Amino acid sequence: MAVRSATESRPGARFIDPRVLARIDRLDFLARTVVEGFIGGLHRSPYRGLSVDFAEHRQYLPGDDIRLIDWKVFGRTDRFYIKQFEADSNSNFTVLLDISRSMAFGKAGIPKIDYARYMAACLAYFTGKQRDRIGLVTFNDDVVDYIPPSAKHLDQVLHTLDRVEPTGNSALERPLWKVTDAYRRRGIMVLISDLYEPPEAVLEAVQRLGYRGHDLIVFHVLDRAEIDFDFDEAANYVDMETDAAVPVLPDRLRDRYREMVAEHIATLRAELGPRRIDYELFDTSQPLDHALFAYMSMRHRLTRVR
Amino acid sequence: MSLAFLVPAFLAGALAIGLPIWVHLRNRPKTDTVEFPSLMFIERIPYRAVQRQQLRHRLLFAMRCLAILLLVLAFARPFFGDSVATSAGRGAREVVVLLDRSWSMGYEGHWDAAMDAVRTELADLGGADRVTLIAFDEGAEVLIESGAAAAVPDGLLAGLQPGHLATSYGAAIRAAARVLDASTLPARELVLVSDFQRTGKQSELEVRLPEGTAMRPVNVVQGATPNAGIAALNLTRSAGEAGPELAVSARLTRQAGTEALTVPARLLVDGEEVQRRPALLPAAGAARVDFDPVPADVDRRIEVQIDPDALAGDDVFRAVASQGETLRVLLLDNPTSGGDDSLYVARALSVGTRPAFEVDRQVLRDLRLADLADTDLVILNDAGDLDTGTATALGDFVESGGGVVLGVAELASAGAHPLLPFEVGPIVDRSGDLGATLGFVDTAHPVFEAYRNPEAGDLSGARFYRYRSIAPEPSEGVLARFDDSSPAVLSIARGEGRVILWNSSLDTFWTDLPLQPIFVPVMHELVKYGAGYREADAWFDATASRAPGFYREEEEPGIVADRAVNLARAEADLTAMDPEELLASVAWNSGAAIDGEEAATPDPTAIEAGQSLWWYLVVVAMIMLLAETALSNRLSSRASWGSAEPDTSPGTER
Repeated sequence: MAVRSATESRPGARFIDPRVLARIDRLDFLARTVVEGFIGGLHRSPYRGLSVDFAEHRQYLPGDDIRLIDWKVFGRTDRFYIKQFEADSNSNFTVLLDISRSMAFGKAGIPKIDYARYMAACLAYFTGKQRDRIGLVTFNDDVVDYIPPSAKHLDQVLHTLDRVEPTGNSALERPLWKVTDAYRRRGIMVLISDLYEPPEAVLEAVQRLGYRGHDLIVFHVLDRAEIDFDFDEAANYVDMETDAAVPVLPDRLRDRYREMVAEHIATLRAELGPRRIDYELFDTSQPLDHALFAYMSMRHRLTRVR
Repeated sequence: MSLAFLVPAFLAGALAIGLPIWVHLRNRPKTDTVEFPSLMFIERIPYRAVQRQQLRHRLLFAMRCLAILLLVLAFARPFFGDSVATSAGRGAREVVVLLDRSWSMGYEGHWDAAMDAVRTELADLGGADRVTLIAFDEGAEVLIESGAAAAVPDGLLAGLQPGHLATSYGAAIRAAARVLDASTLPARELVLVSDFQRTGKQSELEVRLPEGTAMRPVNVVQGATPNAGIAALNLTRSAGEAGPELAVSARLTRQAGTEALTVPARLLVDGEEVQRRPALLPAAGAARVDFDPVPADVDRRIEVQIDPDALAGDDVFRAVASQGETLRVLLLDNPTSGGDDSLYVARALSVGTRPAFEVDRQVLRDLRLADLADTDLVILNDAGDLDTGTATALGDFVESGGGVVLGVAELASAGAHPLLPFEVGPIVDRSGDLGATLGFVDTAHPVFEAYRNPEAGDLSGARFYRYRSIAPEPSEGVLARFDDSSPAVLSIARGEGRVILWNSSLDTFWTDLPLQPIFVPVMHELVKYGAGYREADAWFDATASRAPGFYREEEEPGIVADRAVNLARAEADLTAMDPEELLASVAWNSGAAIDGEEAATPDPTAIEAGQSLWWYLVVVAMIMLLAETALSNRLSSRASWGSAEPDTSPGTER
């Protein structure tokens, strides 16, 4: 499944090209560059702000709070209508970052872990500007770093992201179970991972967060080579997490591999949607603002909650 | 032809052939690795591996296995153990087998062991080897020279037997050296099959084998070799009441025995046993057996025997007791002497019995040529000057083998003498100082040999009051000198005969020697030596043409005598020498001698080094590896060697 690079279609997008950003040493400066460039580049914002604003009226139904009845409308129409307002934007925002060893892979662009790190930093910075509370969880087959959401934790989150190193094997179930247990308050969670687990296992792990009322976004990060399998050399392919080796002839394997990866992605996309979990696939050559767009789209949907 | 290995432990490296098998079965043609995030999808893809390996890369697999095998074989250092194959390497051998066939090899069991050893050597020869078989005793007989083993007739060895001659290693090794020198084959070996008697090496062997010759002694002697034998006989004539008698005594010897032994000794005279005496022999030593005198009025064939033992050749000893011969002496007197001057000489010769002296006295001027015909020796005791005719006659007599004892004294004129190569000088008068004595006597000469023992007589007791001054050439044989170093007795060879110069008188005119006890034996010896007399041997050692036994031979026309021939007694001494000592004395260096155990199997290191098969194996292995590399790269470029390949057929997942 090929994803067309946004840097090829949008002029000026090279400033948010991950390969260019990789030259920036400081993560906070990187995030500010991306986010402010992203905001400044919006020609027509689809978003109206996130203040407590009136949204619309709807007919009163038994059980509604009578304090919400718009008496002015009742005076004009002699019918009970209640007022609906925009949702509160000061929510908890947590990044769940997969730092297993498979995230260290990078052939076509920068390593996936760096891409995920930039992505998390940008999201944290962006949400921080909106006064949201920011938290971070790094994990492999267990929780590695845990920073609870707070409006003052941006620097700590960025610092933690700056020093993460790929380690361990990936397994979503155990760390997400712990996150589910630890986060009593509803919030927005962004899971950044390469999701090398059967779709069933992924769904089993993430849907618990949904049951808790969290709004979950899954950013599936892959290298272009993991999608296209554009290897030429016959060699022993070693699993970066398990060290298992398999002799592989790419020419003979490529088509079948692509089919299986596409099937895996399609399954995740198809299964996560009905569970109100957003899913986006990224390859590491895509600009980081793509992730911000995805996030903004999700927030826009959430603010329409009535 | 058999293949052997110098370092067979390296053959364990053949297990490395499992490496390509493992590689092909495991389908891991390359060691390059690519790190991939997860094999989750790849491992789900079914494979079709086995079929591909067998069908598409069998040639590559075979080349790899063959290359490994060749390298393993090369490291194991193979060589062909058979001599046929060695002809391409170290090369065929020139083997010289020396077989001792002296009569001591007749010792019980030794000859059979020698035959077995020779047969073994012949059987070990390869088709390219050449063999020379030499039988030796005192001489060497080449039976087969540089022939193939198959060329040795079956009956040749069966027809060989120990001879009747003694051992001499020199002749055999010289013959072997000649063959080995002439050989063009790269390897030379000498095999010496013998009982290695020390007596066989009488002196330093002045021969050296070619450099690089491998020498291998095969000693047929196993353990001790006890032996008793008769070393010699002593025959003593005496005058018995009934006539001449002969007393026989035998000297018996014994070696390597364990205890004393009594053996019966038998005396046979003319083939009939006449006496038997017990002889007590020590474990190692000698004993003497004396038999009673037997009549000896005629020549007798004497034979002493003991019971045969392991070495029967020395258990019998033969001798002939002859009557002896008579020397005819012509004593020429000076006409003026009155016949008394030669009295002492005549009397001295009259008592001789072995030989007897038949003395004729004659005046010098009456000498005729016919008188010299039957004469063995002429004595001229101060006979004066010789006329031309007499001098010529005596000169011819000496030239033809006769002898002259010439006493020069008062009557000899100073100057040249027809029978002497030098002049006779003036008279030296030593009467003033009580006469001269003999200051030097050559006891190594037969004339005075008996006086080597001081107890035999004192030659220095005689006084010589006068003698003639003579100055012989240094080459003339001076047998005795006076105390002033003037020659006293000279032996002058002339033609086939000799002249004995007695530089004084043979009477009491100038010397008192005739009054000394030693005068008689001295005269006897002078006459015997001058006449060229040699006492008839009672026995002879066997020769190549004469085996042990009694013979009747015609010594001179009309004169027939018995001869006894015995085996050479030196050969009866079975004392062995170290074979290495013998071989080292003929080798270029001591390291060339090798013992029998080492030589039984050729040195594998040398054979392998000569063949160098490993080198060819390495070359072939390198070629094989190059071809494998080319083929592998070609297959790799096609990505056709065994690796992961999707399989659409069901049931083949791994």
